[in-house]
Amino acid sequence: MHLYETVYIIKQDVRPEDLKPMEEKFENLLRLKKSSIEYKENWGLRNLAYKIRNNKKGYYYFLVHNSEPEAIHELERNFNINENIIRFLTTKTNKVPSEPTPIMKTKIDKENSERSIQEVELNEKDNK
Amino acid sequence: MFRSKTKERKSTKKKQFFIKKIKSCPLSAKGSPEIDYKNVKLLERYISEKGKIVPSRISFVSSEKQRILSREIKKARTLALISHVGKIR
Repeated sequence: MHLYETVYIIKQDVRPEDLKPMEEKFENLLRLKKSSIEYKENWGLRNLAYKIRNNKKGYYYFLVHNSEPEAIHELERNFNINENIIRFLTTKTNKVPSEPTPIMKTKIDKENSERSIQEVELNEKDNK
Repeated sequence: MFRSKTKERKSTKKKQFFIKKIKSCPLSAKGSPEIDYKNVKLLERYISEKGKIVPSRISFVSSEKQRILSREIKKARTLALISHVGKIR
């Protein structure tokens, strides 16, 4: 058993309702192979730095799991079969992240700032 | 304050005209961030305008860290976090 990090990108034109089942499908696949998911993140819709198969954007998902090599073979086989997966990368790590990754942090900050702006606007309206 | 002239002369003689600048590695100092393909902001500092990896003789990154850096940059490129050909997206 080893700790692994997996990032995979789902196509932009997948319907938003179908994203959740897809994510669960891969997680269940890992669980079936007796591996445990330690940490997961959803980076959301991001701009790709370059076009991949004519896609400009993609949904990023990040997983940290403790699993056997066979489980990763199975996972990557499924990634290859699935047409909606554009890219994936699995790497070894030695620790479970204790705080959100830098990409997630910037996303959270953005959301917070947007929310605060909206709140200010609402307050101004209330005052009027 | 009053100072004797002789003392001042002595001090000027000791002054070095060429100061050797020893720049240490910015990534191996204490408390420096971990090099990781997810930390795009850090990686972008070590990429040229055209998207090339900056050589260590310019960025003063130690050879050990430079190896890790190049590996992580390449990982970030495959995940389309960093472009192959330019900094601007």
